[in-house]
Amino acid sequence: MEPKVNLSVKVAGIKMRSPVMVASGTFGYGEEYEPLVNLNQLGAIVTKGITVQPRKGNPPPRIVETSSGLLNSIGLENVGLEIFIKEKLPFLQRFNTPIIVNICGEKEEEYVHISERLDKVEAVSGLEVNVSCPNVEKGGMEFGRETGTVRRLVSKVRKVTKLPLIIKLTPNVTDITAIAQAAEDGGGDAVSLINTPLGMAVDIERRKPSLANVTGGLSGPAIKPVALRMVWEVANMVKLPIIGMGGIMTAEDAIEFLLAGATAVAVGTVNFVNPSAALEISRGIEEYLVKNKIRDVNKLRDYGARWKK
Amino acid sequence: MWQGKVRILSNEEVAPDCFRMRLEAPEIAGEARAGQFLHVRVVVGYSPLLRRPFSVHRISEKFKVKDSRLQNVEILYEVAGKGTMILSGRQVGEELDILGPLGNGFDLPGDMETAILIAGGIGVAPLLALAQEIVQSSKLKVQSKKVHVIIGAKMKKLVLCEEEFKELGCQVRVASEDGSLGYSGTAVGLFKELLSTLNFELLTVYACGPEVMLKKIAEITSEKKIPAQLSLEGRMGCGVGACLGCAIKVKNSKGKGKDSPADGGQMEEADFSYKRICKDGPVFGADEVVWNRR
Ligand SMILES: Cc1cc2nc3c(=O)[nH]c(=O)nc-3n(C[C@H](O)[C@H](O)[C@H](O)COP(=O)(O)OP(=O)(O)OC[C@H]3O[C@@H](n4cnc5c(N)ncnc54)[C@H](O)[C@@H]3O)c2cc1C
Ligand SMILES: Cc1cc2nc3c(=O)[nH]c(=O)nc-3n(C[C@H](O)[C@H](O)[C@H](O)COP(=O)(O)O)c2cc1C
Ligand code: FES
Repeated sequence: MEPKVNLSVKVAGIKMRSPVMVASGTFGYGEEYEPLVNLNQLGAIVTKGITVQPRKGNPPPRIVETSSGLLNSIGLENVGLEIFIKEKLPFLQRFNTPIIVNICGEKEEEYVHISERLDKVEAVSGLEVNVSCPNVEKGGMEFGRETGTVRRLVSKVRKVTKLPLIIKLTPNVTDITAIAQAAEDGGGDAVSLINTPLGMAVDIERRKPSLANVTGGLSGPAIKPVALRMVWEVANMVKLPIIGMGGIMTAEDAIEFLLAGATAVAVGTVNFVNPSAALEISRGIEEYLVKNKIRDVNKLRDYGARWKK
Repeated sequence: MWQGKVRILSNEEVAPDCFRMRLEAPEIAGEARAGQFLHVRVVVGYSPLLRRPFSVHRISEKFKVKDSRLQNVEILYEVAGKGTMILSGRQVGEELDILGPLGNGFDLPGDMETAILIAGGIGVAPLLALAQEIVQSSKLKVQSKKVHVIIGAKMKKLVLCEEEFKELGCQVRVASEDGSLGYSGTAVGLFKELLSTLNFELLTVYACGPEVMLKKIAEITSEKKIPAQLSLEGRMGCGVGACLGCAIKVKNSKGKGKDSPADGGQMEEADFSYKRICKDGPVFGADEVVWNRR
């Protein structure tokens, strides 16, 4: 028989069979990867950021590869709330995997409107409140850089929905623990971190920025140490469960995040390289637990709490 | 769509810095169509991080061979940077991680009587698969001698696939920019010359090459109202339509939207949208594309 270790976790009340989720914006609306990946085996699927109205996104070039990283400035291109509900959710609903909708807006009212609307939609397991998108002119990250605005936005959204609220944090702040605390104070149920740190690249032949939008968000292995440090800091400061992400490519990377204090992890950029990464990482975590005689993945996060500077 | 490791059967330099790689890939060979591409992981690790896209260049005669070792797919690539440099050093017998076939193939109108295939440089890669598909299709009435191929290159030694097209029975013309082989000038120049001798009815133009070339071809075919399909390139992330990284600007309601203003100003929001090169393309109608990309 299979060795019995527990891989299931509960984040913000959402039960997941595995601690490995797929990160917003890197897995489309699920359907794109369905031919290649058994969606029933993922911990959860987080959709591309949704806004009230459809958005075209930024002009190309929108992505450029950098050393061990990827810079993107997609600009939140999405089909908009109603089309998402009508055309994208029914597909995702066929699978036995929690669906977490990443939501974004230019104004507080938009976050409130989306949350109110999705509260009534049965297929949705939770909301990831994106106060960290670095690639839009208005809104997004603007809401995630000050404790006051975070607390106010989260409490407004809290009032209109009973859905689990996961607040997605930006690393582009001085003290991420203060922002995480504000998310807790506003009534958030969990935090996810990190979204992409702002970066840029220059095409020296054309003597122009590589991205049409000049700056973009950096993801991939290059950001992992920064993400890990932030997860550890937040875990030591706030009570909320953490979904850790940023540059996870392998099971070893994921285990580092879990040891540092994350309850679950999300994988993003690695999906582009290896579509089966989330499933392979989940298996790798299982093997690690078996090998180290740890019965429950939830035991890992106790370690980070003991580390002292 | 399939992802997995395949064996490299050959990897030969066919012209300076241009390589043809043959892969044992029964999962791809059976399914792939001309115009689709493979997303290739050139290394096992993460440097470079992303996969690299390459067009399906040639498919072994898939219906004739049962032996899976003979169900091969080829790519033809030019060393353009780090990833293609590494690929050129990969050895026969090694395994290569590929994802594909991705994207949409070329569209072959059933009533097409004449086809012109225009290749600029390494843009010849998908057009050989296209010629193969046209010639081998039993549904099409176009005969191989009505498949005109224009191969454009900087110089004689960079002219690719001339023999391969001839073997398929196509009418092949070569343009070299330095005049070292065939027509002296660009593929576009030769295309204009060819058009003046042909009957346009039931003609379809197919092209792949540098953006400047594709833009000129689009201008010519739009003016003469000839349907044209272009295979485009762009920076690619996932390759499957998930990341929205490979956007290309297209006119709304095909052909009806206005073009970008001649003064280089911005187009009206309502007149354009973005499509994904990887999933909605890489083949696009010539009159669909907005040519003000940087
Ligand atoms: C659908 C599709 C099909 C393709 N088919 C072929 C093919 O059959 N044969 C072939 O040789 N090439 C093909 N290409 C282009 C090929 O993918 C790139 O040349 C390759 O990815 C470059 O990788 P590199 O690591 O060697 O270069 P890099 O070091 O990544 O880049 C070298 C230079 O090329 C630029 N560049 C990189 N990728 C692209 C791109 N896709 N478009 C424009 N500029 C780029 C970079 O900005 C840089 O200046 C195709 C591209 C697409 C999108
Ligand atoms: C192409 C791309 C699009 C993204 N879109 C979103 C988005 O819509 N909403 C969001 O909260 N995060 C978005 N992200 C951030 C990721 O969810 C994740 O936080 C980040 O990429 C770090 O993880 P990684 O290094 O594993 O990719 C996007 C990332 C990438 C690369
Ligand atoms: S490369 Fe990801 S959507 Fe096209």
